[in-house]
Amino acid sequence: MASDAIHIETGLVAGPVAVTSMSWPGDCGAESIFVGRTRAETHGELGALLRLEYEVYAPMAEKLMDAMARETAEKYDGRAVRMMHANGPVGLGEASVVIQVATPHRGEAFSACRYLIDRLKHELPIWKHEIWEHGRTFVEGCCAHRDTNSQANNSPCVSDDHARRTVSKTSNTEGITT
Amino acid sequence: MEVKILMFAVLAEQFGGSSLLVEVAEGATVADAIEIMTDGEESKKKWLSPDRVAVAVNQSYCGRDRVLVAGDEIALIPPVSGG
Repeated sequence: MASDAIHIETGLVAGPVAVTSMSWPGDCGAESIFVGRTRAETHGELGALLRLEYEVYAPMAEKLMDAMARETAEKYDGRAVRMMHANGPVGLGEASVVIQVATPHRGEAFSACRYLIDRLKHELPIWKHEIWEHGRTFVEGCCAHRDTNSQANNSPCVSDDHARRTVSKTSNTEGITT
Repeated sequence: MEVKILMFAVLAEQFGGSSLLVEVAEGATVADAIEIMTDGEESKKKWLSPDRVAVAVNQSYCGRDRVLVAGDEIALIPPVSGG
């Protein structure tokens, strides 16, 4: 497969993201789509969740997203890969991340989608802020990927299931009226 | 020589800003720049411990032993939570 036949689209969007039709490779019979959305939650002290706000180190995230998408295409025989992530506010039920992968057969499409969302969560310099009725918290998920053998950088990643919350020093005065 | 340090999320809040310029000696490493920005204060250093904060130079992850050159952009990356 010639590399120029692969369709890659990655990027950041100032708000919710959406699934769109990809330029369809004729030799593909499967497209797997992952959509990550804001889940409604209630904090014991801060009340109901109003929205998320994503902070992104954009120049680095954009470079990594393109590299990840290309590596995924190579690894899973993907002919089209699309990965978009929000950079800004995302309301309840709205999508913060969309991944679409087209492959000749379904097995690779499912695997590629899972591989890409897992890498995104471990590597991309993106931070989730939770805006509650009565305050803000930072979500501290994964200790970021290290591509080095330096002794100081061998700590394991924290599972997404064990993400921690740090209450922001900044009070959320706007949230109460939103 | 001068290098730039970027901070994000909880680090920007703890250190009161998202970027600062630091003067380091020729041949200095990322670890040296971090030592200078914390003034050696343990209360600041604890926020930047290697087991929770990754580093990147010029938008690529690297170790803290990376030798800097003038104009480098160091990013201090607390645990990420994209997706």
